[in-house]
Parts: sequence; C-alpha cells; structure tokens
Amino acid sequence: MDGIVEFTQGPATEDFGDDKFRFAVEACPHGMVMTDAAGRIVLVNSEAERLFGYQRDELLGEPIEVLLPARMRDAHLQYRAAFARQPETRRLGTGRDLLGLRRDGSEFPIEIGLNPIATGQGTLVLGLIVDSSERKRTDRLKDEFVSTVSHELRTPLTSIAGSLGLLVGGAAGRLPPTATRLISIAQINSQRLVRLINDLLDIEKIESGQVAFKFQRLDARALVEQVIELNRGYADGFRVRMRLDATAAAETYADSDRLAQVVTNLLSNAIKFSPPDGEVAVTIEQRDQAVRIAVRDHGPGIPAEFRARIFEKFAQADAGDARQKGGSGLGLSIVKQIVTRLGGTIGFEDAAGGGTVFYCELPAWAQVAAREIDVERSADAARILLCEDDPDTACALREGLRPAGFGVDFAHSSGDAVARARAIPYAAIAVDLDLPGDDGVGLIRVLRAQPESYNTPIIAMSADGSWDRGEGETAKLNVLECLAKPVNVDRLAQVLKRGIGRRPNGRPRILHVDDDRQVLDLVARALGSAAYVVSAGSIEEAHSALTAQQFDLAILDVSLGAVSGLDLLPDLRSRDGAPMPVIVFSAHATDLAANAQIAVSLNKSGSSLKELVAAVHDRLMLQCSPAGAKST
Amino acid sequence: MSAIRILHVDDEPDIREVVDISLGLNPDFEVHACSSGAEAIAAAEQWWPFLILLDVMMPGMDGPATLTLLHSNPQTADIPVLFMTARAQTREVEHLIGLGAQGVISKPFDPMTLAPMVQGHLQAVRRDTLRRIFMRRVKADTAQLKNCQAELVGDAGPAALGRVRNIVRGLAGAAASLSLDGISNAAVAVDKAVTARLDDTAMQTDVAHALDRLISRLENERQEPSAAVA
Repeated sequence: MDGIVEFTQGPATEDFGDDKFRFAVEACPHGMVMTDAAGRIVLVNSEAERLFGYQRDELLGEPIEVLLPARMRDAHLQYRAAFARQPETRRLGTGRDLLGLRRDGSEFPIEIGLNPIATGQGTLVLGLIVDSSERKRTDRLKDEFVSTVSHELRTPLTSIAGSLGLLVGGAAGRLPPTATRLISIAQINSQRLVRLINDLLDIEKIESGQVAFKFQRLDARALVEQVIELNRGYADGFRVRMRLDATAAAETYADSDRLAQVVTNLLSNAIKFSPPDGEVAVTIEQRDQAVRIAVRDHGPGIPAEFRARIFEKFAQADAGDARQKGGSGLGLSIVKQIVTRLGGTIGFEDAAGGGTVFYCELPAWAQVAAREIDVERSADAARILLCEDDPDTACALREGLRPAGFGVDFAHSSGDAVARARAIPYAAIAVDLDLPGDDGVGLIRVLRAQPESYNTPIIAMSADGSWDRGEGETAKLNVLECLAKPVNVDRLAQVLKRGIGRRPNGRPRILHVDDDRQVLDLVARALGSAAYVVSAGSIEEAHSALTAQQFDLAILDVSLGAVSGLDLLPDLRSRDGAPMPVIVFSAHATDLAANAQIAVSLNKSGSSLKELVAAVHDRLMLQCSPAGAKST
Repeated sequence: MSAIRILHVDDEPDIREVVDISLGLNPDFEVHACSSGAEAIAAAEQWWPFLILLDVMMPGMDGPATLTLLHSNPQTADIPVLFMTARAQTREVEHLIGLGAQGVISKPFDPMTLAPMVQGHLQAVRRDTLRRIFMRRVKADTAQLKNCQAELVGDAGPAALGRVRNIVRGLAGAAASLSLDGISNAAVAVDKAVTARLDDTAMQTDVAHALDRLISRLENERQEPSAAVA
C-alpha cells in the first residue's frame, strides 16, 4: 500500500531509537520540508517528494522558492525575511492559500503550516504541506449541489404549492368536501416539504460557514417582542398564551434575522408542546457578561433518554408525535448552530412546577465592544487593522465594513497597533490621526519602519480630512488617502478595496475561456508577466474557476463547441455583484455593442495578440491604477 | 376594467400560469407573461407595465441582466421591478435590492396573498413615476385611437368599434387609478358611446365626437408639464 513506511528493512534494534523519528517523518501523511536559516532545503519526506514530483536529492540544498511558481518567489523571499525576524508557529489551514510548483511545471493549490525550531546554527523552519485541490474541488461540488437543490427543488414546488394554494383558497370555486380535505392534505404536506428543504439548506449553509452573519448592536427585548407578535396567530391556533418578562433593554451583538429565527424556533416548540390554554413565558435577563433569553413551557417535559440527543439532526423524542406536530427534526439543531455562531450557548432544564425551560445566552454588547480581534469575520475576508480609540466608532466601522468583505481588528492605542501589525499580515491599516498618547503620524512612521508593515496600504482619518501630502517626510509615509471624520464607511470600503489591489501579489486576475488549448496557452504566455491568468477550456471549467476564486476581468470566446461563451455573462460578477468587464476574443466578429458588460470585442483573425494585451492593460489600468502606489 | 398592467417574466410555464391566476384574483390587474428576459424587455417597451415581476434564474439572460438592460433604457428605466427567486437567502435578497429592485418575493410564494403583496409594493411607488409610465402608454394609445378615428369616418363595423372600446376601457381604468379624472371621464364617455352605437341606440357621429374629445384631452394632458414624459 502506498504511503506506508517499510519497517522490515529497518535498522538493528539498538539504532531503532534514533530512527523512529525518521520513520515518523517519512510516515507523516503531510508533505514535510525543512529549511535552514538561509532558506535552503535540508529535509524532505516521501510525501513532499510525491507532491512535487522531485527526488529528494534534487531538492536538498536548493532554496525553498523552487517549490513555488516563479511569479511568487520575490514575495516569498520578503515573507521569509520577515518570518526570520519574528518566527512564529503557523498552524496548517490558518494562512492564506498558496500555489505549489511541481517539477513538471504544473501548479497546484497548497496549504502550509510553519514550525520554527531554534538551534545553535540559526532557526530551522519545518513546513507542513497539504495539497488542497481535492478539498477545493469538494467544497465547490458541495456549493454547486446546494445551489442546485435550492433552485431545482423549489421551482417545481412553487408550481405545486401555488396550485394547491389557489385551490384551497377557493380560486377555482367551491370543491366537493372530500376533494377539499384531500387538497388540504396535499397543501399542508407541500408546505412541510418546503420547510424541510429550507431547514436542510439552512443547516448545510450554517455548518459550512457560508452564511454571512450581519452582526449589529441590538436590543434583545425589542426583538423578542416582535417575534412574539409574529407568532401570536400560531399560538392562538394551539390556544396558548404568551407572556414576556423583561424589565430593561438588554443589548447584545447579533444578527437580528438569525436571532429572530432562534427565538421563533424556541417559541414554536414551546407552543406546540403546551397543553391547550397553557402559557409560554419568555424572560430576558441582563447578566454580567451575557444576555439570557429563556422560554418556559408547561408541556410534558423532555424524556430522560432523549436529553443527550436533543440538539442532534433529525432527533425527535417520539417520531410519531413529532410528525404529527409537523417538525422537520432539524429545528433545534439549526438553533444550536446559529447560537454557536452568534458566540453564545444554548441549553435546557426542567422548570420548577413542570414543563421545560430552553434558554440561550448571548454575549452582552458591553462585552463585545471590548473585543479587539474580529473573530466573526468570514474566511475569505480581507483583514484590516483599525487604529481608533473610540470603541463605538470602531464597532460601527467594523459592522459597516463586514458586508464589503473585510474583517476588522481593533487597536485602541499606538502600542497595540504596532504589535498587532507585526503579528498579523494585514491587507491594509486605517489610522485615526487623533489617537491619544502618541500622535497618529508618529504611529504611521513606526508602521512604515517595521518590515511587516513597511508597504501595507495605510489610510488616515482625521477631524478635517487634511493630510500634509506636500513635500518632506509625510509624503514619504505613503498614505493612500486621508478621510474626514466621521468616516463614511462606504467611502472607506472603496478606498480600502482600491488600495489593497489584487491578489496574489497585487496582480490582476484574469479568467480566459476558449476551447482551443493553443489559444489559451498563447494568451496565458502573453499576459503572464502582467497578470495571473486562469485558462478554462470549457464552460464547465470556467464555472469551477468562478466558484473557486475572484477575477478582475474575463476574456471570452463566443463559440465553445455547441454553447456560447456569452452564457457565462450573468456569472461574471465581482464579489459585490458588480458586472466584471469582459473582452470578447473570438473567431467570429460579433455585434455585442448592446451589452454594456462587454468592454471590447476582438476578432481573432483580425486582431493580433498585441491588441488583446493592449485591451487588457487598458481595461485593468482603468480599474486599478491607484494600487500602483502600493508597490513603491 | 383592467387598470393596472403587470408584466410577469418566468421561464417555467407552470409558474407563469399559477402567477397569472394568483394575480388575476385582483380584478384591477392585467397580467402579461413572458418566458425570457429578451421578451420582457420588448414587452416593457411596448406595453408599459406599471410593475414587472422578474424571475432571477433564467437560462441565457437572467433576471439581474434583464434588470440592467431595463435600467439602461430611458423608456423602461423607471418601471419598478420585483424579483422572484427560489434562492431567497438574506444575502441574495440584499444583493438583488442593491441592483435596484423594488423588492424580492421568495418562491414558493403564497398564491392567495401574491396579489395584495404586489399591490402593496405598487403603493410604495411614487405616483408621478406611475404617471410617467402611463403617459408613455397614452402616447401609443392616442396614435392607435387616431387610426380608428379615420376608420370611423366610413361606416365602421363592430370590429373597429370593439378595438376602440378595448383601448378606452384600459385607459379609463388606469387613469382612474392614478386620479387622472379628465382622461378617465373622457374615456368612459367613449366607452358609453361605443356601447350605445353597438346597440344601435346612438349615431356614428356620437362616437366620433366622444373620441375627438378624448383624443384632444389625451394630447393636452401629455403637454401639461406636471405629467410630462421624461
């Protein structure tokens, strides 16, 4: 079997002690490469040989950069220099994704973990390497599956539920009693199917972290009052009363839609399992660090044998009973996922005098406001450091920037800012020039002096928005822009986006779709020095590339076998939904003037590669010229 | 009298039919269905709906692409659009609203409340926007009525009279819903004259006179700055 180290040919027993470390390294399922203080490879395991297609003799003594695509090497040298000054363990999967270069010249996505080891001869670095292409592929398949299920199942259900709803509603006139009963059974069950699909998609999305939570400061009491109001009709159907006990506003930091979903679920469970004429009581308490929302029913209680599984998927105390109550068996499982993502906890206990109390505890706002590292940022968010001493302003900017794709960490003092910028490679730093203690300009000077942030885009914010960009020293600090306070968050997002430029290494990303491999190669070569080009030989490949990464521009062939490259147009959007500029590069002259998304249409036979390159430059310069400032 | 024109766009014939019946529960709605974005753009330019219900996921040109094209054409740019989507996650809804839609209805929808929901969205639209859209329709209807007027000089048969009646009934209802009483009353007068003529209780000249008054009313109204066409 592949990957199992042969022990039979091993050393004599007395040497086994030393060799077991070597065996362990060889048996490790991850690629392992160790470098010396000069960045030269001193150790390679079998998995690394397999991943990169080299024999270890070919690698030993070579700089680690041979394993990276040429265009990434300069940046990596800089990164390595910074790492050497401040070595720090980086766990697998925590850094950004990189590309590996195989011996045959092909590239593949990798994740790496780094472990510095201090020795007498300087710092050795042990790198763990995992091929992430399979993970990326499965992620993509899952995404596609979810979106297909969502659309393909709901479309026929729309017709079914719609037709049944019209019949039940009397749109087709009065029906015979038996037909009415049958149609109503069909309608109730079609609605149940809709709920089940929604729940399934919901839990899948929440589990995979795809749901963007919109955190905001909110009053739990106001939210619960609203939810109670919305569920009054439902409670009336069960002849159950609802009561709210809350003395004061209880501020928390949560996504209001999701929190409402949690409370709705707890309430509807409590209502469902209440005896007729029963009462469901909701209490909200502000505790030291948390806001506690509790829902008490007077139902039969949770059977002992079910308690351990209650938050599991498809867990129902009594399947027959639950079916009768119309549950999907996913409700509490979803609730638990949501509460966890909201940074809270959920639980239940027997209520004194019978019934059950379900409660969730969410972080109190005051607690959150003090939290400096943005733990709720989405995985692909660009990390920004915000140096701002007022927590309310800082939180508001964090909330405002999150939907634009940023994760925002705070530094409330210059000292914090310097330390944090040294530890974390921020995509950009925003500095309030009126920081107490040190002045903001002084902070920027320090940031520029340290290697970790010497070329990080910096944006200043000041009371009057003025910045002496004239001559002298301040000009050298290379501040992108100075915004007036109070800062308009949209404007800040815009400046940040422009300043951060394009990944990787600030190069624009281009998607090229053509079914002619030769054309793909030619174009990739022609543009390779200026941009990162992903070549797709079919619509399917293009779709995969689009789900996996963001692009700044697309080059499309119109005829791709039986289909048209223009079918891709609706999918060619940036993260914020804006249409991506498109250059049509096709064998047939096409009149595409009508479509605003198409920037240029070039005829393969009539125009040279040079014209295409010029068009690409022209198009991208329009978009990212200010980012050029960053590389100085 | 169908006063409020709604254009519905969906590639699924079954959904078109369900929506047609659901919206038909409000007798004020006149629904025209299209199966693609391209068809919808043509219909929006020639039929002047007060509102467009637009499916998001369609083959070829999808809902957002259709909306972009509608917005880029001054003749259709101000027609309010409601998206209908089977993927109504919060993020998608925000994205769609961000594109400039008036609202989003998630699928499956409740067929018994679809019409009131659409009515609610229409109430949120500024009245002068709807008037502007209506005046574009008035321009085309006036031209058609003038053609009919020419036919009526001869001894017009029931067919020509029927055409006139269809046009004026639409005008009367829509104008009434926008409180354009002058147009509405003049159109109702033509409707009455045509009906009487078809019953043989009125003269051809009665119809012609009523029609003259309506046409001059329409032309005046179009020149009034308050209802000027953008």
